[in-house]
Amino acid sequence: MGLQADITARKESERLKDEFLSVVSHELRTPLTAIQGALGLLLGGAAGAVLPPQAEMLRIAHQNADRLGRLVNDLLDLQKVEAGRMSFDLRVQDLTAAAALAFQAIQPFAVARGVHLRMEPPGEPLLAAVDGDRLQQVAANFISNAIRYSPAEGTVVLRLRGDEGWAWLEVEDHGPGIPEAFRSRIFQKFAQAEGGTTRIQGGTGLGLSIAKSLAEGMGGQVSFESAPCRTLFRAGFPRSLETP
Amino acid sequence: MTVPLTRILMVEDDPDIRAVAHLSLTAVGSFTVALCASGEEALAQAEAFAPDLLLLDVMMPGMDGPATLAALRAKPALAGVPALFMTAKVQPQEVAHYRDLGAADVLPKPFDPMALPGQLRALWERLHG
Repeated sequence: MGLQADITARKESERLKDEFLSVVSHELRTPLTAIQGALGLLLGGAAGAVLPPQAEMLRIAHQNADRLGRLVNDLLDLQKVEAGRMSFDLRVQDLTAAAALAFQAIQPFAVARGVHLRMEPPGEPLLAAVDGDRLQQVAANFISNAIRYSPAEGTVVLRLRGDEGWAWLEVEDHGPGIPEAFRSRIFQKFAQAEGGTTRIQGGTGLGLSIAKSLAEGMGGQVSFESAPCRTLFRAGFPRSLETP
Repeated sequence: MTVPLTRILMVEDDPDIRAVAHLSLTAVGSFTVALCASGEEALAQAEAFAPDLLLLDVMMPGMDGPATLAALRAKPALAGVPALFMTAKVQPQEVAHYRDLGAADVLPKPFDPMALPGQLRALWERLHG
């Protein structure tokens, strides 16, 4: 009887968590959709011509609405992962294709920051059982973090390589490196290295934490190496010999 | 040659998003648009409006997007009209679910109102190409 009550209570708790996520997601994204949309239309000239000083203010508002949107998405993703509610559609696939999509999608952000992106594909198929969308998210989070900490005209490298047991996705930048005291907290929520000129606006402080959770949720692992002027983040997944 | 997409019926309960979508679809996209605040309103207007395409919010009070689509599809004149859901819930299994319900595609929210008309025309071409 007690066991059944426990199971019922747990199911109810899980249902409430799902409902909370769904409602919060809807209630936060609905006003953001209206704000981002209205600002986008004004900036695009759909509601009439905009003077340059007005356009600059609109650009700032739009950029920050986008930033708030990313924060909401990141928080909801993290909540899903922590609640065990993130579903993974694991299929054996070549990691290069998913990584390339993330690489292409993030190009405009690199251009805006004056950072060069380079992709180094493997010389062979790099197969692993992953969720393609989530792998893209891992790659995008690593790359956007690297861009944020890169100097202008710096180069961020997305590299894919395999060894006997693992398929690796690596992102390398030539920013200031991760301060020694901060390294143990690098994958924690809201972690951002601070101090001097190294703190760059725009990140949510959740990207690396989410990348770690997603990679581990797909049976993978994450790690990093850092030295002055070089930081490398990597995600590894058990390599598959099975063809997709 | 594909018949051009001209008439869009949109169902969205949030008045601000309706206003944004209206400006996007009319000023940017040059479409003829019917805006409905609820599934019930869509059912009352749809046949007379004769849309080429249905654009439906998913989470709405009363009739939600899937219920609205099912009710619209039950009307013979609207049975073949392609429908799109607009939603922030775009996990792969959620998208697959909406497709199973008969949606031609799913557009994620927040949407880019400057790009929305182009996305709709591309989908229209794909459906009729």
